[in-house]
Amino acid sequence: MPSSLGRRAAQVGGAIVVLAWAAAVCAPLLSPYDPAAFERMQLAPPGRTHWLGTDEIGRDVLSRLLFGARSSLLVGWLAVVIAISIGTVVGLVAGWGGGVVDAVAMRSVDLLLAFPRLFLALLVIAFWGPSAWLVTVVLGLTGWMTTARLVRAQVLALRDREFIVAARAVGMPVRRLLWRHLLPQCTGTIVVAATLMLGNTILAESALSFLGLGVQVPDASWGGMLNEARGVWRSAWWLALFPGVLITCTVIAHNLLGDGLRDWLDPRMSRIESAERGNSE
Amino acid sequence: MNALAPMPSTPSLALLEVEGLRTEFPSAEGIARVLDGVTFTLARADTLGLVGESGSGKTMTALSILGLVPPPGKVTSGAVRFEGTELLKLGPEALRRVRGRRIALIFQEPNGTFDPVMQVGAQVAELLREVGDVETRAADREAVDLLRKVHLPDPSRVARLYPHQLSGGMGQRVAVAMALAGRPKLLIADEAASGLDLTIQAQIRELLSEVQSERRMAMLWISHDLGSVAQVASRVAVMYAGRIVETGPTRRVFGAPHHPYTRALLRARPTLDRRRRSLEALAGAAPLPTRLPAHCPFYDRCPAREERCRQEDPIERSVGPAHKVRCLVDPSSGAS
Repeated sequence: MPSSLGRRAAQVGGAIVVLAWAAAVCAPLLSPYDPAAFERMQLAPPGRTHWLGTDEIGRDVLSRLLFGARSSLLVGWLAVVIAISIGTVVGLVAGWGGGVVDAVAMRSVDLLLAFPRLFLALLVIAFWGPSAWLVTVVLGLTGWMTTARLVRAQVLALRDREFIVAARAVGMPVRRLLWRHLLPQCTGTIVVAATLMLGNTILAESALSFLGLGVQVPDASWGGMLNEARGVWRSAWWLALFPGVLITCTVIAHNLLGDGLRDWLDPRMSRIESAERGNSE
Repeated sequence: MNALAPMPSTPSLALLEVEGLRTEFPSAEGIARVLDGVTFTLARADTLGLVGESGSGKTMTALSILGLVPPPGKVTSGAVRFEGTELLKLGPEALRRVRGRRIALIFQEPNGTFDPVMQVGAQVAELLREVGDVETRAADREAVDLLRKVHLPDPSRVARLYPHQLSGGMGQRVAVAMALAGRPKLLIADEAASGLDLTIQAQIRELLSEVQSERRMAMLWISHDLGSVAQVASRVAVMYAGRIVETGPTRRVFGAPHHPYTRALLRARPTLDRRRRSLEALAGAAPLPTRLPAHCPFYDRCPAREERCRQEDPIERSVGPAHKVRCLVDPSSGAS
């Protein structure tokens, strides 16, 4: 792929991500109706009063989509923040500690990677009951492994670099060495891993909400809207089409942005994308 | 021979005593013994030159003293006493507090020893805070003072440079500044001037001598360059195959070398003397650290070897005031 095309794709992806966030943040201002309010018109097709139509019980689809962006992005991003934080700490400690510490950490990673993520999420939710917060935490706790591996690999490559040995030779404390000198060298990797993880975490959130295990009514979520559309989508196409398109676009946009950031920040890592995409669903 | 170097210090004054230090690396070909019983002492404010060819264990000696041997290597026996404390028995945190505050190490190729993405002034300031016990607010100013101390022109400008913007000479000065941050009593300079051009080398040596006498700091000067050792060190230790084969006052060792290896090293040195056309390179190679012989490790290359050299491993013996050698063959009848 010519690099200019790749860069353009990344810019488009980035723009969509920014737009999605803008919509989510400004949802109360932009929404023409209360997303939970029942209007008189049920199953109204897209038109002048309801631009994207209304659903079975007369709620405005556009307003629900805007508020749904909040759920998807917030849950997705928070889960990724949790995953990245855990992964970074585990990777730093494993890579620096080596030996038994490293072995235990990496075998735990292998073990967790062997569990299907959604299945694990289903189990936990079956136990504690569905909620958006639980979904966030579960997705965060099940998503850190790839980051841990990447950060560990970086630390292993860096720990014997002369400037690290030299810093130790003049008495630099390990904690400071890790945070101030090793971590900054890993930020490129971490940012790229995070962006690529976002797409599939958002997808996972949608899947769980579709199954009714994530964001709960009356709060709007794209996955939940798809679920509500199930019975009537043949006649009311707009109920399935708009949330579906939004989920797809958001996920693709995050992936394009991640690819672009990877090429820009860390060209060596061209393989992590496939690894990251392969690890869920 | 009449102009002897100052008499070496009595043991009670010793700052650093290294005894029988042995460092080994497990490898596929067996255990590589990179240090095989290194023994030497260094007095306060004194300078010991450590010379030897590449791979003889000079750098590993420095790393072993500081507990920085890269895994899977390990110090397997011996003792390192610094100001009476046995360093090999210290835990990681206690050892870290020795590094920088008591003993600092500087390397060859200074610019690789800095964090590439941080301004050097910030790195010096960071060290001042961490090991120099300088207050956070004062650290930036003191960093500039320290850079001035190592005679960097326009120190406040240099403080804002990134490592790749420094020349080799400037880099080594910054490295010296960082080594001084914790006010160590011993500075280990591992090929600190090698690889720089000659005038810069001389400047770095001069700088180190200056801070050394000012702070009463001892120095372990590691180099393959005999000339630089002769310039800075009052005593010298010659390493071969992971051991010290000859040690003594610099003038004695270089003026009246006893060990055939020391003599070979001195002959292999380029001089401006026109009468000698070619350098005498020493044939052969040092034994592999995985295959150290039970007899004298220099046997295969030794021009003065005798039959008994293949029977036993020589122990250290005295051949003059504070001058010791690990060789069975009697001093060169003709040389001294």
